[in-house]
Amino acid sequence: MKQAYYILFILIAGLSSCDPKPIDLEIQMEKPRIIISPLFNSENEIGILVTRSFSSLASVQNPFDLVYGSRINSARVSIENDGRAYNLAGVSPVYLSGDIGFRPYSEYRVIVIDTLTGEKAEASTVMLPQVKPHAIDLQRSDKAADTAVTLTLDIQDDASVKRYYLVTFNLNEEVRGKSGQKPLSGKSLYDVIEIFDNSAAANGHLTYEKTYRQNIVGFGGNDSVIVEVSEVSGEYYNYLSIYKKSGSVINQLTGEPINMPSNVRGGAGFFFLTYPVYKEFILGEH
Amino acid sequence: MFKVLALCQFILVYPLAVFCQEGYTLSGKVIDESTGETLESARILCSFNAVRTNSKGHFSIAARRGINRIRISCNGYDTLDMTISLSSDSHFVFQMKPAVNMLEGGKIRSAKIAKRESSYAKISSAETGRLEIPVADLKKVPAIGGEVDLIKAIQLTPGIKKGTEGAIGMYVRGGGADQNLLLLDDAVIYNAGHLLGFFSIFNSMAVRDMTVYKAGFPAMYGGRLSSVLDIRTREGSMKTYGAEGSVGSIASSLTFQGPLIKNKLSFIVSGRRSYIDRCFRLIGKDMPVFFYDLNGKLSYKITKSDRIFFSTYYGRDILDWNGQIRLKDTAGTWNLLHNLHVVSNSDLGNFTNTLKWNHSGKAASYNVSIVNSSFNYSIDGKIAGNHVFVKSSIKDIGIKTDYLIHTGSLAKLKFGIHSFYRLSKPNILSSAGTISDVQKAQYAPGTGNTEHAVFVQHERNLSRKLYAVYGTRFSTITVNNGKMYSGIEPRVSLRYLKDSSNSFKLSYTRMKQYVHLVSSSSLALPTDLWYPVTEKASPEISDQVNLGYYTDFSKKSLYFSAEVYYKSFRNIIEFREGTSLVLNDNFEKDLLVGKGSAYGTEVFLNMHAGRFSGWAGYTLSWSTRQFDSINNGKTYYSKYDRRHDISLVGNYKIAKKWMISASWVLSTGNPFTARIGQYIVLTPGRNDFTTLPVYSLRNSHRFSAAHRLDLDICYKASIRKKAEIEMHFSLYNTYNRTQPSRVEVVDDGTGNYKFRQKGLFGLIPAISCNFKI
Repeated sequence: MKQAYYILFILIAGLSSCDPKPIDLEIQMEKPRIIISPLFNSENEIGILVTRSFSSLASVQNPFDLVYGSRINSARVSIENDGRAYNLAGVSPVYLSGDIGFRPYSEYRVIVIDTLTGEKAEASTVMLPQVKPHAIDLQRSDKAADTAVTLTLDIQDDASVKRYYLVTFNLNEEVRGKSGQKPLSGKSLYDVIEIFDNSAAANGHLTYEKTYRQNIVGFGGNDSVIVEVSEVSGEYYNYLSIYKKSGSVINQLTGEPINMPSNVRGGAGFFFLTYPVYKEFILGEH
Repeated sequence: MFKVLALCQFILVYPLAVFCQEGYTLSGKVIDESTGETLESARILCSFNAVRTNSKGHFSIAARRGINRIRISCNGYDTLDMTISLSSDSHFVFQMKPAVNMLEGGKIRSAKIAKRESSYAKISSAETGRLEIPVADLKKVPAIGGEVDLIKAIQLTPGIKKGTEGAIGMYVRGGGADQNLLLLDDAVIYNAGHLLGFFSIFNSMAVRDMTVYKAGFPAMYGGRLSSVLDIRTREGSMKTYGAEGSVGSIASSLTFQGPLIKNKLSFIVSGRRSYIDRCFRLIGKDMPVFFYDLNGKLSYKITKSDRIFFSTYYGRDILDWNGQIRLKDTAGTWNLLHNLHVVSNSDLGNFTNTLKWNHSGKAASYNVSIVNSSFNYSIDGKIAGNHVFVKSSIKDIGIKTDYLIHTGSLAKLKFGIHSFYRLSKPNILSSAGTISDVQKAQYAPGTGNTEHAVFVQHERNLSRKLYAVYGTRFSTITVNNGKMYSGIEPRVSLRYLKDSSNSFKLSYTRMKQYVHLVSSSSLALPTDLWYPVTEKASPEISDQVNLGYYTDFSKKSLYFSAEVYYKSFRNIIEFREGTSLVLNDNFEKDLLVGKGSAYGTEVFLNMHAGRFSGWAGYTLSWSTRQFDSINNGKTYYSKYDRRHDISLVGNYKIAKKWMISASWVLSTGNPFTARIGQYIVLTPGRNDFTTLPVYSLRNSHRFSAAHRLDLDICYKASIRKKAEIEMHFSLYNTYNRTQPSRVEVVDDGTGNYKFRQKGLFGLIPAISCNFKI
């Protein structure tokens, strides 16, 4: 009997692998580059975030600290269009302008110069027109275990050229916050980035429908969802496709790392101009 | 029946045999004296000529008129010496006596002779890139958890690199894991892994021999670019019954064999079951997966020259996880408990069948095989009233025929036809419950392809020292819309025999591959899918040149080989960055077609001296890939490019009953793509920030070098001379060294961060027991 215990002990010991001491590794970091990222824009306004890349060993616990830590205090930011240059004012890291007057199908070039080091980064893009929707709808449906919302879009599109669209969602929890209620759990709708092209367009209509399940658990009252639809360039569509893939858990576990594409020469990031159309839905009333 | 066989033989073989014969030919069969089992790869020396028996124990060798001195040797058997007087072509059956305790006392000498003649056979043959290590030797290599794994053992030889630590992935001369043709009794194995690829499906108890080709592929093999691993299972004894088994930390196996009709019909059946799930339960941990497999073989002797074999393999991995996962409730807290049940429905594994007719005649021999192989996986998941079922499968059925005709002094003609129908059904998905609103059912119709190949190969002496093997293979496949791919795959090998101890060899081979593996992992995951070539993805092609020098240092119990090779790959495939391979029903749109190359040198030293036997291998190699849409179109190192790879394997008999085995490996770290920076951008469509990584060029960084020592101590005993017992005490990764496979960022203790490499396994002690009755 004693021998049986010994054998059992050895068997169990055999299954318990010792944890070897990890080995340190030195990896040479890349030289910091100028990063350009538009914050927002409308017909007249634009805000651009200008920072530098930094070591991959920097903590990402608080992104706001990193934003300020990576700002370029000595940056000069301007936008050029049709031979005119507009200097963007502001306090690093955000540079603003309210009087450019963006025109659809016109090309704009952003130029960032670090006056201290002389480094320069620039990127160009075309302003695309605001989407003209026939209808934007968001329907709520409650089932036993969860709540789903179905997005239905009907957009004007004559399919004469290839076009790309971006749909995002913002949750408006203002009312809930004021009443002291807990924040919503269904934040995953907030993470949705929906992109599609106009290959399904016919007779001047492009329709798109998608259901998001278990995304708005606990939604109710005056909580609202703001649907934002915009036309984007093919380049930015490709950027968003890769952005979405890079966030996939499966790809992070098994795939090769993905470097995000960039249209910034001399730096990184992506410069784009969109003019979204918005519609707000109070789902509690549906 | 016999009339039909005879007629087939007459029509197919006899005309060629008549036209091709010249001089005296000594042919025969080599069998085990005690079991009657035919012996493959036995060496036959006749004057200055040397040949080896084929898979059915048959050989043919040029002989002189009058007295000929014959020496026959085979690993594990006493060497047979005799003189035979010939006045015409003659055929004999040679019986070899097993050297039961080969390393004991006076038997050492015969073992030495056997090894020395094995070296001569390797030196004098025209084959390059061929690796033939007896299964008995491979079984002595220390194994993880004491579970002998033949694939992991051959990973210790030059030119064959492992992928993930402890896994069975094989990367041969710069090729991918999908570029290896794995044959089990002629049936193609599509997924050789159990337990996520950490153990191979090949039960060492059931395997008789295995041969690996890395270059100089015979024309009868095709369909993969980089290697052929041809595994033959054992046959049951025609005379006596026997049983053997093993009990280890991870799995146990049991084998029975014997005659069903004495000297006519024999059987062997071997089963294996892992119980790692049960052992984990003992220590309070959950391991909801185990595997079992079964090998069986029937051998029927029709006549002295004709045999029929039926062999089968059935293996399954069983996954059954029943647990609870926590979801958020309406208040936003993680309070909702849901039952999650994931099962594999006993439908995850391989199933193969081979029915083979073998004729070994005086002047010719041939094989006709009907083979069928399938690999399935199905996963059934249930949670909160929702149900998702995913299933994939690949099946093939085909016929293989090959003929061998001895056309004269050391001359052979081999030809044959292989024809297969393959059906692949990837990612069939059905869903029920509310989840079906989001995850629609998908049914990808099966893709059926017919693949044919004809081959011819001739071997002959060009002069006394120059021997040539040349041939070609013509293969074809039909794909969608009736499109057809076809091509010629030439094969040439030349051997220059400087003297009986030194030779030089040169070979050129072209290989074509008509199926691709859709996989995003270095493990042999069951979710890996095989896809046939399509209109967009043409067949993959490789061309390889191999030059080698081979010597046995004037018979000093050593065998040495040094080979240099260059291999180019065309039409190899990759997937666009970020492609999700799970539940993807249209891979073709994400396929990228590129090219690659691999070159290097391999040095191998095999030694048998007294109580010591073992080998040392060194590989210096480069392997690159180039795709227009990956790495900005620049050439990059492939995933398992390793500059240096050293392996030392040795067995030493300490005393009559004790033996120690050790293996030590050292290899350059695998390349990887490093995160060399990060930056902040606005999250698309939102007013908050996202940190994006900056990666280096593809595979431009390397892990630290990995080295590891494994030990095994074996105690052998016999009980009343009726049963033999072997106890193994083994240590994997004896000095507990990290084998780097991933990088993580950790706090260095001063508030800063640093990179750290981690591996999978540390020191693993194990105990196992083998017995034989």
